[in-house]
Amino acid sequence: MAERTGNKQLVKGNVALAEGAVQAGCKCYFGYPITPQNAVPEYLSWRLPEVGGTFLQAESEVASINMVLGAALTGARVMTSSSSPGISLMQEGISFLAGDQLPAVIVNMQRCGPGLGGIQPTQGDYFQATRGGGHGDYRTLVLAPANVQELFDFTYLAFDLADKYRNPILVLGDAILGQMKEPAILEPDHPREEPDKSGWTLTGAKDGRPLRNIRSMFLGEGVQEQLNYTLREKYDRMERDEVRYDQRWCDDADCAIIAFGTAARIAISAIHEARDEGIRVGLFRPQTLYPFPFDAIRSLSERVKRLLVLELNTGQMVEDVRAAVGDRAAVGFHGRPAGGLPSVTEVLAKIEEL
Amino acid sequence: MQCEIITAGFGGQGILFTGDLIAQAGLREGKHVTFLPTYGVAMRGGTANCLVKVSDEEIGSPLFNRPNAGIIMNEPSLVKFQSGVAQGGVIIANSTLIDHSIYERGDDVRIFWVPATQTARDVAGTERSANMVALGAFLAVEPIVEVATIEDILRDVSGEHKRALIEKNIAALEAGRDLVAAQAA
Repeated sequence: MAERTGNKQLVKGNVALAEGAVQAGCKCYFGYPITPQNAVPEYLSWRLPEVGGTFLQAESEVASINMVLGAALTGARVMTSSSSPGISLMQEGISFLAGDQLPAVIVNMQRCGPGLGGIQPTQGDYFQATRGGGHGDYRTLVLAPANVQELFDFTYLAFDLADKYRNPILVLGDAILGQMKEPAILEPDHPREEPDKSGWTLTGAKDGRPLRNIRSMFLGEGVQEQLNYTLREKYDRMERDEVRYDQRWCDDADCAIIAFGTAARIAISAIHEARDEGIRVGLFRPQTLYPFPFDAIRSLSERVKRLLVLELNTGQMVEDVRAAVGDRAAVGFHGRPAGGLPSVTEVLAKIEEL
Repeated sequence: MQCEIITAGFGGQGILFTGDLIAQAGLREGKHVTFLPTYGVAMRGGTANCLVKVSDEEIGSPLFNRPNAGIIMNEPSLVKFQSGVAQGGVIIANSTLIDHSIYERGDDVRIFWVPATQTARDVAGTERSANMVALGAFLAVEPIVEVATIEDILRDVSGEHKRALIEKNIAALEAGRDLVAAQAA
């Protein structure tokens, strides 16, 4: 959480991310209401028209994601947002966005499941988010903010990444991050990078240029296979260039907590208390969940021999951490699913068990 | 130092507004703040609460841990939150609406019984300012932000047409402060 300078205002997470989209040049929003992210469409319903954009409440999540696909085809910067059950409904469309190689931003303010579940915070969608989510051999880049400033910054960044890779980008938050308010600077810290998309968008061939098709189904021999290799090459580039994480208090640490999003916030409180008691605990916080910071965690495990993975679920990211660490360090896990939030006291007890 | 405050009461009593004001004031005074409301299945007349943290240092979790203050505006909220307040903490209880007999904590918590709703009727002419009476009382006990900062925010965020309302709220805030000063004396 690097300190930024500028005018700080007390702002709700859902509003900060929506404003991040506006400042990234988002011109279209399509969505269907669901708790706990309704402040996003509420805000964009007046804010987007103000900047000449289109806000449309669709009849369903399935319609929303396909409207996103249609807008993306034209080259417009486009976003939808929802929460877990709604994101499940969108998976076919997200798979099509990946297959069609279209840029779009999708925000998931997670609530607990499975099924309709409840409205409480969770990180139960880690697997869905990091393994593609829909059918087919694809990935979405997943940004995991842990504070209101990052909700603004990461949503702003997501649009550049979507265009850079022509791929859907996920912003993965949760009910706490969306609903809470804290100080944030609602101004970007770098100019946006919107590439020229005129070489592939569907804008009508009125100038006599050859007709274009964008599709994901190729029946010719080996063509579909080649598309998958092309996609894989993009994911390799993401894995090389887009890994992001925040590592703090690890230099002198005897043990470290690995957590993202709201779980990382709880971890920070526990680490402050532990350090007050003389227990040297560090924090490793992935900011991208795909690509996952395998190398950085591997190198952390060379130095810090006891690691605790903290999640708001019964154990998902811990599988990636174990794959990164192997037998270099001991990996413990603590998680509470479906709104059962771990207390600082609980986390401290787990640290002492390590 | 970190102060963790619960504001709780009926929907419509300005519970979230009070928490928001404390957080705004903390931000203006250069402190770290978080504000976390309850959400979802809440409605006017139902219960509402929020958790505000104000700290000189970075705040990790915005969640309920060991609150050291409660601004409690109705009986169900005192029943629900009294046991959670940390030792040495402070409770401001709205005695217009809360019967003393439901209070179960011992001397490890300082409780101030403030007739917030009645005082608001008397001073501001509306019980809707009861939250400001309670906030004034709280800040007299725990001056985590300046009353003057709260007053500045109230004046800044409201238009001219609400000027009379703002002055009533400020009167309620100051009445709450004076009530506690009288109890402490």
